[in-house]
Amino acid sequence: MGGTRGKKMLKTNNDQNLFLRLLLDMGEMMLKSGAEVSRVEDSLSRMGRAYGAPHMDAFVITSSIVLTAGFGDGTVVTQTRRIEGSGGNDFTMLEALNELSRECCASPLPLKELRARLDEASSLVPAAGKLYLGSMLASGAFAVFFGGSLWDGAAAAAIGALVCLLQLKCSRYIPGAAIFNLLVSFVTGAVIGGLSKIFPALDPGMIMIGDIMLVIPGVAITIAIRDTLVGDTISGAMRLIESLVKAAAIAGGFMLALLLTRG
Amino acid sequence: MLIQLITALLGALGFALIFNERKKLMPFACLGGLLAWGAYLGFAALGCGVFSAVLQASALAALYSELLARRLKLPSTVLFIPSAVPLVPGGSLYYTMQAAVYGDRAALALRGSETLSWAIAIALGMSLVRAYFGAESRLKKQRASKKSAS
Repeated sequence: MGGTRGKKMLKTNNDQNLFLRLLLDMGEMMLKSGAEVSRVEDSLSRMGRAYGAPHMDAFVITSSIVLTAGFGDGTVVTQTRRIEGSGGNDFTMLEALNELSRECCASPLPLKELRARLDEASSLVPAAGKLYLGSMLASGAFAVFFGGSLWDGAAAAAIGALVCLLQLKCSRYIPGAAIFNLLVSFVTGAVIGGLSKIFPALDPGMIMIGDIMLVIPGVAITIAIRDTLVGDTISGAMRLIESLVKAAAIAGGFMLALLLTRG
Repeated sequence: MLIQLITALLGALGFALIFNERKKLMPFACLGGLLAWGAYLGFAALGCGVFSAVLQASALAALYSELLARRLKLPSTVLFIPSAVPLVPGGSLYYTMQAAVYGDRAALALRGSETLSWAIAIALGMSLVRAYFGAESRLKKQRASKKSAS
């Protein structure tokens, strides 16, 4: 079993502490790249057992991780981590972490190597070009999908690039996801309203729907309901409230823009 | 309808890009989006109500992602999320908002509950499939540990 092999990995108390810190880093990265809480708990527990801690206790919610490891030599170590911000999705990173956990459970890597592999995974951020292209494609496609013309799609794609720009450049200066979303949807709504005044052939509703798809937390709401259904009630409730507030903020922003440009 | 299928595929591709999907998996994400919306249209054409059509389409997308994920040894989320994106009720949310702007309470209640029931249908369909696969893998593990014990 992994337990006997793992014991040699963590000789001192220092190693055990360092190992838990690495596990918390890994858990945080998993949450931020879109893993469900149940998967994070499962992966961290498996990793711990592979490294010689038969008694693993992982409590993960979207905003914090509490991890207790009871090692074979009788020592018990607990560490906690506050997770700032709500998780996004980064599937390349998620896959890399999944692969890393699979490897470590089969045969534990030395801690230095584990550290290096985690750093490597965290450097897998997508190129900005990929995000712009994706935003334009998605918003353009969905404007047409919901009944817009090709011109509406083109306009939605152009404004999709603006949404992506705001998300990349401005989100870090604005406290709170709700306020940021209110601003983004107000700015995009106002631009769409102005654009449709200049080009009356455009349907502002369809363009807005396309761009709403970029910011609306549809996936998050789905995951929230799923978390609740499988028994991760705290995470489910937190994510649900967060998403509903976000959706309301988005609706509020677009509503303000609609009121402004209607008359 | 053809336009909807094509744009569902492109929309899924767009979100696969935003979510930093690996290049190799992009075709599977596109196919998933096409499958989910195609299934929705199919079930709706068969006379299913919106709730049950969305639920079944979401379940089918989840089944597709679970089977493929198992085959390729991936977390299934990586395939399910872009596939389910065309099912997200963006249009419905917009009409809810519009009703709120125009102060039309009846439309607001109607559109609002429609948006919410879409979201619940997606989550339910996906969770049912997940529950099945979760139970199956747990059973397998139990059997394997019994075998190694005896």
